[in-house]
Amino acid sequence: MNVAAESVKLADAVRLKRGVDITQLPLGAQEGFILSRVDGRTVVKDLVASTGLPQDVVLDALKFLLKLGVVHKDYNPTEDAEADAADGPPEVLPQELADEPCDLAADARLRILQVEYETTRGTHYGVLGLKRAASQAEIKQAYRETSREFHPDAFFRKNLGSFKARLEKIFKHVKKAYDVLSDETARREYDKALPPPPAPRPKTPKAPAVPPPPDWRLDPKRVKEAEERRLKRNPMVQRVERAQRHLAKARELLAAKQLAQAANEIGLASAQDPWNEDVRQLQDQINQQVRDDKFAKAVARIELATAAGAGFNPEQEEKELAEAVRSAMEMEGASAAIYVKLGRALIKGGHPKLAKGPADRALKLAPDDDKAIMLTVDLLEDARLFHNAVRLLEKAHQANPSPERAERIQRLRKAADRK
Amino acid sequence: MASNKVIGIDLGTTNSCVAVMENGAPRVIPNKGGYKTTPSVIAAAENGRRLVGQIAKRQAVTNAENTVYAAKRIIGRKWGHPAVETARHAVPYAIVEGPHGDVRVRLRGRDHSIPELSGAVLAEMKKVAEDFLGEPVEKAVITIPAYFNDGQRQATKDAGVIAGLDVIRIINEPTAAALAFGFGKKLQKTVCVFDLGGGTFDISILDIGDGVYEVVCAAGDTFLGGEDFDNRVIDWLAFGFMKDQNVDLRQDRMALQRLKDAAETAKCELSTADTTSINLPFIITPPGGGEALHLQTTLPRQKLEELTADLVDRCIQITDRALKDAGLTVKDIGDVLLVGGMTRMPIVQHRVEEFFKRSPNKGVHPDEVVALGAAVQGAALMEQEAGKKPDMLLLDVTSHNLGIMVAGGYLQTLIEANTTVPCSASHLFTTVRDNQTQVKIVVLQGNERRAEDNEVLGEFLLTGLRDAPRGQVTVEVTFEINSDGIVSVHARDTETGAQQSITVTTASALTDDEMKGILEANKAEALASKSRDQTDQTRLECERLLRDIDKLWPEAEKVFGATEAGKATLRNSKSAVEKARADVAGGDKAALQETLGVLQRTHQLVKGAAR
Repeated sequence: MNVAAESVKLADAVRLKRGVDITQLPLGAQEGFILSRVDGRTVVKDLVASTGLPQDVVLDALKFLLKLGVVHKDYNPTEDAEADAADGPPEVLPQELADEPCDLAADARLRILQVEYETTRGTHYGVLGLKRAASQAEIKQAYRETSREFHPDAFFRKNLGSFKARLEKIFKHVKKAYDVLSDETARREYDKALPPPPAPRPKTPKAPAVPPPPDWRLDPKRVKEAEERRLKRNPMVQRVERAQRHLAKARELLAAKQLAQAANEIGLASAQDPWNEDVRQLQDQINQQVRDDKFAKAVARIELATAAGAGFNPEQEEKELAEAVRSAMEMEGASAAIYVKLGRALIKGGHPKLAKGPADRALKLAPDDDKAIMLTVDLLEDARLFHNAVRLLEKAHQANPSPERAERIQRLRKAADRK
Repeated sequence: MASNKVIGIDLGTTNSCVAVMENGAPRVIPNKGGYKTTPSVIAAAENGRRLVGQIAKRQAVTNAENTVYAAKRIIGRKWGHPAVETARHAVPYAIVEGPHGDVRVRLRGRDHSIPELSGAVLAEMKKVAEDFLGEPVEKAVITIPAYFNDGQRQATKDAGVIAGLDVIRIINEPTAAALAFGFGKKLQKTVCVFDLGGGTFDISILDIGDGVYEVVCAAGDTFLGGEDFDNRVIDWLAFGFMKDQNVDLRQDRMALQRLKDAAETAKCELSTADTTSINLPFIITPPGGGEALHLQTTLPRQKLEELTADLVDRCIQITDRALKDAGLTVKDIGDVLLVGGMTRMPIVQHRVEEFFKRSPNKGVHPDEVVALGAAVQGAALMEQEAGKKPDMLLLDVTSHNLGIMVAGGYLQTLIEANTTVPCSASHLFTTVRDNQTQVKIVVLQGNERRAEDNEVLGEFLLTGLRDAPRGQVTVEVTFEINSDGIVSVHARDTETGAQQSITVTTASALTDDEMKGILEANKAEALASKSRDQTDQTRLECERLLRDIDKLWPEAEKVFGATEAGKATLRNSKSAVEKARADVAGGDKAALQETLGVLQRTHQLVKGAAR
């Protein structure tokens, strides 16, 4: 290709080179954005206007793109036509499309593929199924027939699968083709840009002056190296690897009981690879531990307070404790065992009333937990609600029978009867 | 089992009409009273019962505050819209602001949304059809003025759902008229439809041939119709009365209702007679007390024409502009159809004839042709669904520019007016701050340059963007107008391909919850089908993702297989995908939702690797 094409002028129209996979290019956001507006017709001046970027930024980006060989400005339609002749519209339906579940017959599917080919690689004439010399009346009729065939209404309430997008594309192109061909001036312009009809295609003499350099793609070793490089460069692989490193570190830290650091590491791992189940599980586990840890600290504080403050200023103490319990209760996600522990501490400190909240929460979190049940039984007995206490205790007795419990049940029954 | 028949409903401002395809030809269905049209009037009676149609109209004078007419003029409008302001001063019933900036009507202490009221009319039309056909009917095609915007279309569709109808299509009234006109005629010509109805004026130019009805241009005015003509007469009567008696009749709700009836009757009579007398005895008791006053006057046709001359002028101006927009002259027009009751007015006919230099086609019935066309379109769609090829196709256009607000408060048009629907357009949005996680998009519809002069369809919040330096996240937003003329918006991160969620922050439509409430009050059935649809949608999406993952899998295997860490990832994803595959086959709604999440994550991973 022409190397001197590196300077870009405002009046040039650049065009994406055929066969370039733009997803594989090392482009920044701005270049990508500019490239998204390149369509072969828009001149550079309009690109500047439509992207809203400064003129020199656009020019620089285009120069870069030209250097990369992604776009070219001296567009030659015959080249494209020849490339087209190489493949041409599909003649058989690919298996995966034939197997796709949708309400279209096989021949309808193939027809859609063929017309879709015309919309991307063919001409406006091809889309409407017309000869180059078609008259206006023929164009109009072809437009109407094609519309009736491809208008979404022709597939009313049908399951179309991947053909839906194809049909939409075709329908859009049918209208566009008609708009161009039905307007004599636009049609002349369009015809001018078209390559000559393919029938008597002039053979361009191919005289390679210099033998082309050996294609590296023919050297299996270099191909393999390139492939390996490509695989390693894949950003997803890098992300996944980084995530694995963070995950391993988090496990180590967790084993060393360094909770806060472990939480940080697992957070990093999750940011790199949010799709990893292991990461998610460990993160849940660590988060649970962090919460439990915080909670245990709160409980310890309460225990300390009940022990030290006994008899000092009962009213004040009760108030402060109630506040501490309330804030402990507000912590989401603590386990039942923690609430049981808290409840016990409060009873021990002489505040059975405050223990009711934690006990309720523990029972709600784990309705069959023996310790939670026993805590509640103690509280119920204390509150002289013997009937309820008996009911719960029987449940616990059934699960874990013991003579003391049987005896206690008897005692509570009697108390209930007395009451 | 409901009938597979589709009814066509012309939901009019003043009257509604229903038609059905029978034995290969469309016909209008008369109501129980034998009339082919039913008044679009809804009332709440004293005992709380809801009255619709003729019976509601009959009691309007004695129950003016609780009788709603011309609901179509405010359907889909936001509170504060000029049309709503005008209506508030012109009607005897109370229009109040709804919970999210929409419009409600207060009847006997309960607020009703407009789709609910229009839904009552549609339900009545459904009943008329069912009584006539002797079987339940579900599917319907509903017509609306071509110049209705997205909000009005959506609200009309909601009304259909509230009425228990499966609205298979919303079509434009003038287009429907052309469909009925061309039915079975094998036309090859350009037709102009001049539709002056009770509340709106529409002009559409269609190119008809080979069974294709292609709208080439649609224009109109949603604030121009028979009601405006009536209001001129009402004002004239009230003014005359004020001069004589020094009392403003418009302040009294019952008097206003009687004036309105009298004005409408006089206007209709003047279509055939040269002069008419208006007699309203005991119209009002003077505010200071004393004997009741009477209104007695005559209105000559010439006076009516003088009062409304500017309205007719506006119609002709819009027609002229539409022709110019389509690049046509009056010579290109092969036929002119007059649609809507207002085209019975001699001056309207005369001016149309003068403009087009040809006499309008007399072959269509102005009140019925629209419903007939809707029935024709409904039948054609059902034939398509059954796999037969009907002999007609409608190519309609959007009548407004659709765009977004850009810096400086201007409208940037993405889809131009008179583009054939369905159509779509995409626009790229870029973040302007570091770590910006959301973008606000204001979607507008209208033909004015300044954003504020157009109708705001909605404000969308594009949320959940990736954390990245500014300019690195580009989101492609696609605006789509479907065959009903209803707009939908999707967004996609151009780099990761992830769908972005969009939240509508302003819209005049009913929320899903409200819709639910109304539907529950009416019928639980429609709701179930909606949820079924959603589950099906989720399942389809899951299947699509699975197919995609399967396709990309070999490449991902190659990429990840190269490293140890990658292998673990592969194993993880593989088991996740296998589990998902099992869930998709069985699985209820909740399980499917969860599966969808898992699949979306895996899909992103695989896609990222395979790129």
